[in-house]
Amino acid sequence: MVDRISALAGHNAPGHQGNPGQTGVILREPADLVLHQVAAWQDSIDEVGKSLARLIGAKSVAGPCSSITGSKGAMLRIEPMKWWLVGVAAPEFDAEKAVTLDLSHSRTRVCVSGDDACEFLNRHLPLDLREASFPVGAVASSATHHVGVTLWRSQDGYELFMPRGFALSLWEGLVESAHQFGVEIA
Amino acid sequence: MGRSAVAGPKSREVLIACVENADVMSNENFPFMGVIETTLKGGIPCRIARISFSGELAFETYVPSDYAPAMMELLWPEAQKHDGCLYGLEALGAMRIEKGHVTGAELDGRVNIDDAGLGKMANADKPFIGKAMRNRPDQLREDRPRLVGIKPVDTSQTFNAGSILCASNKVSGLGEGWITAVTHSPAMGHWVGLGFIAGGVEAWQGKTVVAADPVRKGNINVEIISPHMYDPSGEKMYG
Repeated sequence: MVDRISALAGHNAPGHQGNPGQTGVILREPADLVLHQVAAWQDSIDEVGKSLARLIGAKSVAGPCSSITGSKGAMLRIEPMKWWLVGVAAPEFDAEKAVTLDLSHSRTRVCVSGDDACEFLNRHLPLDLREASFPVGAVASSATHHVGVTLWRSQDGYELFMPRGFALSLWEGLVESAHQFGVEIA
Repeated sequence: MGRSAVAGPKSREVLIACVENADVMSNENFPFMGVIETTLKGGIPCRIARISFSGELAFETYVPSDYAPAMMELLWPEAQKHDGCLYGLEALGAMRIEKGHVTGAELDGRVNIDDAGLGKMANADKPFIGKAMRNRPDQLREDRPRLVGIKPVDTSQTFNAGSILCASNKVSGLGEGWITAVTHSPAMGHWVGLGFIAGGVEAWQGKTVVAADPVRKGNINVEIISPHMYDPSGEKMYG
């Protein structure tokens, strides 16, 4: 199998940029994203949710605007009737219960961490990202530079899912605006 | 998705060299307007549609976006072996005009499926959006503007998109139709165009029409011909 080529290829070389001697922001693109969407119907959503929880090795189902991380992957409730599965492929469902969509190549995932990650991202996203409002596990649909993005706060940091076609442009804006904090491309 | 059009008489040979199972590309297994799911060399999952906007034997290949560079690294060397080239929208625009394929320039909201010469694509036995409207009296008028091809009477002359098509004895007012697209046709060696004129080709056979463009170029005598100016029987597409 040939290697996948990221939308950021050639523009995400590891290293430090910006404010010398300071690293307030760390940007990292986890390689080879596996991301599947599952949309359920109103009368099947409980059953489908439990099925997905079992799939990722979790004991509970992610509710609206939140996520659950299991031993095999994570499920994000990105819309009232939809989940995203991160790190694990969706199973086939009877269309009467749910429909699935492989989004692995349609989004670019960037993990934002570091001491200044919250302040840095607030210059891009109109969301209250403080701990009380956006704790680990929180999920939101938002926009930056008029591009719709999904934000998930995982154990590793703030994870941005950007449409692939806009990813390089948004990445360049992220990196440049992170210079003031000192940024490490991991 | 990463998408590429592979067009031209050697396009099947190019793709045969790029897919893991060459049998899927045969004319019998993969007829015109067919769509297949297959695998490119290197294990790249791929959908291929045998469709043609250029009028040539042509395919469109679709792969997950992260594999698009790998797909081009397969396609391009094989295309070069057949003296292939990369082509852009200008070339595609010229080919689709030669072929009489319509775009947004023609489908401007006033045109119905029969005006555009696509009536045979609609199945009269099944319901579809527009079916009821299709049979309203005004939609059935014989003098509705119909899609036509256009060529200059003096083939050394050029003419402009946007020109008004007028009867030669009445070059005034709103005319009888309009020109939507023009190009130099490498296949025919002169300029050709597409447009609409009242009654279509049948109403204007053997008559000289004036493409009136008083603000820019003046008046050019043109001939109204079938919009299928290149390979009208479709031998290349079906080959």
